[in-house]
Amino acid sequence: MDRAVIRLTSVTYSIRAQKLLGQNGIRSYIKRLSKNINAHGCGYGLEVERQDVQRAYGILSSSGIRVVEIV
Amino acid sequence: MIYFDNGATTYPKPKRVPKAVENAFYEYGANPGRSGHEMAMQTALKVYECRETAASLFHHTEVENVVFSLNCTHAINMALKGTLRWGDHVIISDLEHNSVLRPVHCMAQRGAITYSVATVQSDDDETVAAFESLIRPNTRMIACTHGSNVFGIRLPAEKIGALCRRHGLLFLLDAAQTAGIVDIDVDGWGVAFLCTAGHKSLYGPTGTGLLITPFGEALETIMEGGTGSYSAYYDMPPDMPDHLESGTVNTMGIVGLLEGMRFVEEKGVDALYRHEMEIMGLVYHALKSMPGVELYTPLVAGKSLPVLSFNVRGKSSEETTDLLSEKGFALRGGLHCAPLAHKKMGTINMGTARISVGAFNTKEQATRLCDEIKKISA
Repeated sequence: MDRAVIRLTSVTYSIRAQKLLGQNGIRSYIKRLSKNINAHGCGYGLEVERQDVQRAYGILSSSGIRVVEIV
Repeated sequence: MIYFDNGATTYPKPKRVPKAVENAFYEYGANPGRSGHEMAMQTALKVYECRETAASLFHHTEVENVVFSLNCTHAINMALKGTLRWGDHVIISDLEHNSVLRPVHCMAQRGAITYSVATVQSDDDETVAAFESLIRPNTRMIACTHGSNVFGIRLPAEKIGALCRRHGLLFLLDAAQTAGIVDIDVDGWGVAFLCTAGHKSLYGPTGTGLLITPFGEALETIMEGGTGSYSAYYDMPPDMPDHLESGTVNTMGIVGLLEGMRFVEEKGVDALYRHEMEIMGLVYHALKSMPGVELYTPLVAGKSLPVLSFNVRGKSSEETTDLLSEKGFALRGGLHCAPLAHKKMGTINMGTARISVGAFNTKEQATRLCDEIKKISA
């Protein structure tokens, strides 16, 4: 399965985002991120199926949850 | 020992609290928000649950705006020192605990701010008018207690919040004595900073406190350090709650606080208040009939808090509480860290003995206490 990771600002926002996506029928997994560690440092994000990324991004953005990047 | 010192910290805690804390050492022993392994994630979820419960209990919509602190004083310091700038003016009340008075006074002594003290009146509208009369062009904030830890006098927080909205002021509410027994509506009342202890009427362990604020990202930090996020940056993360939570949080305390708040939710804030006031009422009427006992405030159902100060004529407050301690009753005497309140009530020289009721006190305990006070005061 092709997956993408939505980097969020903290573990708190990642949990909130996971609940929000779940309410909208999108399954996601909280991941500790190591990619781009030199740019952002340690952090957390949500792994989702790539086909859900745009919709997930829209839901999070409209709920005021800041997406740092999609990797 | 019969415990009537719940204003200092509640005792006992509901059994589920120490049980949850003990269990946390086994199930939630990892560091939340630092690692990606299973236990770290489960611990982070548990901490989040506590934020959610606090946000719900205090009627605030954004879970990430719930910040864990060491205690109420820590939360108040974060809010005051993170918000106030050089030249700002603050209004406090004449019933403040040192948790508000000392940081405000300290900032004033350093020349950073000025402050005024509003006189709390028996009439709520007059109290609001007293605050309003002190507003200046540079007033930035009203910072006040929701209820006196010494005399049980409750301030009209909702009306003070409305006053702040009308004048564009920030409203800091010290809810150390009310959280858990008064329904506090952060969003509805326009509270900018709700500061409270976790270990009083929320029944969590000591070493826990809460700051709930929609203005957290705008605060200057008073402490910086690791957060597990944005770790390549030298600056603190801009996002809440990490912006205000440096270093590892008190996971065990937070787990206990969660159980304490669940206890409050299940019992019901109003029901807990009614229970405690029923006991306080019994004590109040008994003490009122004793000629050797001096009371300082009326007890008004629906308005007063279950906290009552008294003195036995001819004895210092500490002598009274020492005598009661010898008979197995735990009360506090002295100034209760609230010199302003004692100046207001004329008790600054002798302090007061304080009875503060909790969820586990009974009428039978109250009757035994009153019998003992009667003997001491005869």
